[in-house]
Amino acid sequence: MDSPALFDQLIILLRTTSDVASVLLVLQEFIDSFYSSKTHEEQQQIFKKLSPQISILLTEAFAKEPITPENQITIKRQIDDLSDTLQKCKKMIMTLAFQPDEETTTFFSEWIKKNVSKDLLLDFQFDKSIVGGAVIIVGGVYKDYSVKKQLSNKFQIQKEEIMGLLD
Amino acid sequence: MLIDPIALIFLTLAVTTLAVVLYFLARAYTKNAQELHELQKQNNQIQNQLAEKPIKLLEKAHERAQELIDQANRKATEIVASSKAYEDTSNQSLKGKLDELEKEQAGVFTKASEDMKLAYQNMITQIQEQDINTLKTMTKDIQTDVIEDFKEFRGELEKETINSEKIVKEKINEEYLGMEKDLQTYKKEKQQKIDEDIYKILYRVSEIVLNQGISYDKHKELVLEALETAKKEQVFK
Repeated sequence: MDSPALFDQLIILLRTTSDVASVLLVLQEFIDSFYSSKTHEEQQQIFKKLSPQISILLTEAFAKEPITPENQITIKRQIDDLSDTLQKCKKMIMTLAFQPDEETTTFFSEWIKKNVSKDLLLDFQFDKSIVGGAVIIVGGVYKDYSVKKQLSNKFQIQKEEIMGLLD
Repeated sequence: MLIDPIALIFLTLAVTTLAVVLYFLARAYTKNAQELHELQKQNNQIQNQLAEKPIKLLEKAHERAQELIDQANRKATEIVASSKAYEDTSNQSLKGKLDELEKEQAGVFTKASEDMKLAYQNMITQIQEQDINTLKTMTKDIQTDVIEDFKEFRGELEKETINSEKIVKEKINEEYLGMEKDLQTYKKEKQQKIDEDIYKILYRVSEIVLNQGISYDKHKELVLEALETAKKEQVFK
């Protein structure tokens, strides 16, 4: 399997920058295993650290056959290309007021891949003070859609009205 | 060698002349020597005479002087004796006259003294009377002046008191107005600050309440709303 095809399959499964970081870490470990005394099975086990779908995909791509001096250069080049492509992926920083679970992460990622771009990765950050909603930084653009901001705007606009209620 | 007879005659005449001259010179010298000797002799005699004469003169002068001194002493004694007598007489006369004069002067002085005493007494009595009158007048004047001054002072004091009271009243009113204004400003500022604080507290309370009151699903919904809004605003382009 050539790298672009693999990337297309893989990027659908990758949701966040931390997913990508885990994949890059595993790929590097796999490359390092070329120069160790690890067996083929042990090398395949490296990919098991990732999610099952990603693990199957990467095992099929790089560890289907044992690594030999003949194929290791080709496989390494493919991994390097894949790593470069993954590192070049666009990312969107999303600051949330809660810690999203796996399901929620997948939900937001799928929404992004469906509505924005399939290779846009999420980078979640947590800040309770924003109350709710999200603060988004993407492509150098900062947008505050937090409840805190909305509340502040509300208070600014309706200040007189609110102060009137206090009397 | 033959000598000329003329020269010989001439020589003989010359020698003769010289011998004659020498003779006269010797004679003259002898004569002068005798005369000098005589003169010296006379001189000695004169000197002897002169040496004897002053002593005699001195002795004579001494005697004469002694006589004169004695005469003078005698005369002086006579004068002293006569002046003594005159002095005694004069003294007695002078003493008498002085006593008379003294008595006369004492009388005059006593009279003058009494006159002066009387005059002074009169004068003192007059001055005392004048002083008493002056003092009486002065007392009255002082009394009048003091009363007038006091009245004036009282008037001024009343006037000043009224003025001061007025000024103080005005000042108090002014201060009161200033303080009231400051108080109003302070009150307004404080009210504003309280309002601001309440506003902040309300805002914070709203945040806390909302934060605690938002469920997980609601959070999810809010984030999805944020993404939808971002999409509408074309933030992802």
